[in-house]
Amino acid sequence: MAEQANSPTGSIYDLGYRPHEGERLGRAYATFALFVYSLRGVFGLGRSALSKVFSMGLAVVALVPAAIQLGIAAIAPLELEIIPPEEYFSFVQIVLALFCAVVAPEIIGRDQRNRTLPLYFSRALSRPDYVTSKLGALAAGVFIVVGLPQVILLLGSAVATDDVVSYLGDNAGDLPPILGGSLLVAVFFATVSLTIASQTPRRAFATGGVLAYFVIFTILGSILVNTTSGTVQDYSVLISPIDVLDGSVHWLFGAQPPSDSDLVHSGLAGGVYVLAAFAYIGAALGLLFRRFMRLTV
Amino acid sequence: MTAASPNGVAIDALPLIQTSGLTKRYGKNVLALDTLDLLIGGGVTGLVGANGAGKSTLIKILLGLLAPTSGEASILGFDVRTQGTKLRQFVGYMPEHDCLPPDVTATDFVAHMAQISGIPRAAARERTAEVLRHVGLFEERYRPMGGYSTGMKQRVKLAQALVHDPRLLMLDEPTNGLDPAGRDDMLDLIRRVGADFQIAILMSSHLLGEIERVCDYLVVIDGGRLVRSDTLSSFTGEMQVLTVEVESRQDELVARLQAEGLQVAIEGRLILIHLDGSAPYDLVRDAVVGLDAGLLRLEQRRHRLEDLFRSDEAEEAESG
Repeated sequence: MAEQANSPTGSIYDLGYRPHEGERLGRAYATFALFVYSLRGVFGLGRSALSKVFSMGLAVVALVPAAIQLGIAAIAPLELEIIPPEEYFSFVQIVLALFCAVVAPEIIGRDQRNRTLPLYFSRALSRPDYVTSKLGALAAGVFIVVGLPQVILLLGSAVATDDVVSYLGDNAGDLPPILGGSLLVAVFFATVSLTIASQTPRRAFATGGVLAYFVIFTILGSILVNTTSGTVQDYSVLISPIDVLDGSVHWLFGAQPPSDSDLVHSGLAGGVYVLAAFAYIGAALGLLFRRFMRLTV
Repeated sequence: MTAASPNGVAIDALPLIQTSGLTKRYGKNVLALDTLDLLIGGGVTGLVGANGAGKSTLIKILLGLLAPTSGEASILGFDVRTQGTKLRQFVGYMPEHDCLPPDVTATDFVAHMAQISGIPRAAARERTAEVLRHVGLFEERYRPMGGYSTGMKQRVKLAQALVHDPRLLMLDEPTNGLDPAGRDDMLDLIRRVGADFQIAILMSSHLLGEIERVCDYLVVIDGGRLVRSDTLSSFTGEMQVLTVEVESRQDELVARLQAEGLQVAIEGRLILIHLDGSAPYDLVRDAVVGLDAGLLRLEQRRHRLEDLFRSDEAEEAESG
């Protein structure tokens, strides 16, 4: 025994190779496993501390408007609504754009960058399954970032009132548009960001591309709305991704946009924004799947 | 091995890999695979050919990473084009290139890859620990892979290909970038996987010495066409040679031996006599004595695979 302890290369009990006797769960499970793994990756879980900082940090920033509103509600004696539910999105839209610009290249670009794609594509899932997992993960991540503060705000506001039950009863109607609007916003941001980010394995270019898209087209839409007239003015608001989503969210809440909004200048009916949002999502999905079906690995 | 295949047929009864008329064309001019017909069974099979012979293309088509231009291919009876997601639960792949994310630990990565092959989470964790031990990765497995040496990375690459207990393992140039010691370790590991783990292996390499060390069968392709497919021993069996070295009159001796009907080649001061199952020792002795050439050396030598190919290349160079 003593001799064994002194030997420089201690031996380990070799149990031999054991074949896998259990289940093989196949394609659907593999797709789900990749979704969960990628969703963790959205928030930097299982990755370096640095990758947690940005995504978690931005998720916290998205909570700030809700926190301020609730803070005021806790101090002020009267019911003071600073942020109407239909306006929450417009407070956090830039946070969402930043979040996607940081996270989308991580979600979709890292496997191209590290050349891990051949390992995925030679396993139990197909290329479309892979894209679906990644898309689902980012959409779920954005949904949490944009939806959670609104739900917290709704519940927090109820707690801050004297009569929680009647407040919830009066405002329960806000919940479907909160969830529906957040879902639309999440799917839109996820598909568009992933489509842009998947075009290059280089993280910096992908981040810049996503950010540039949201900023440039939003500004462009705004300029066109404010410098043109008639039909051109009406429809040029649809160039701006943020306005398309803003219009959709207001329509879902059945609310009027604020008077200083570009949405007011253009006289489009609310439903048109939702249709435009679907059109954007559809086009982005087409490009995204095409990209991965054609990608040589 | 009595394991049943995913199709329910006894595994030994099936050809592991079967292709017919498999063709892959890149663009208009490059023909990577040219109507390739293959039948590969169990054991360790070496896929040999020069760079650009079509080895990687074949492996990628079998894995469904590339679509063939025409022709059929199946693994374990599954069509690679239409039943890819099903069959790939039973296939492991170790690519030639780097493929490991640097910011993830080996444990997390390999367990994740097991799940993507359809292994449930708990079993994936358990098998990851085992397979990393088998490939010889211990404490390092809890560190991000970015800090690993090439040898360690190759071990993780092998581990991720093994973790879901595949029936077939495809290794594309598994010793690429390794130093001689690392190369030996990797070849020993592959040998063990084939012999002890009873997993069929298709391993590509352009280094014949490696193939010779680990493989039972050999598939030689060149220019996308099958040159020959046979057991390793049948390849090496043909390469028995008798080496003769004499003090003088080498040319005359060669002429006399050729006159006796022997296949003779000259390599510097050595006369190489191809042994086609015959044993012409007496003939050689008599010829040497008759010429009084002064025998310095008479030995039987087994040619290595490399020699077989080298002489082919030399012939081509001469004729070209």
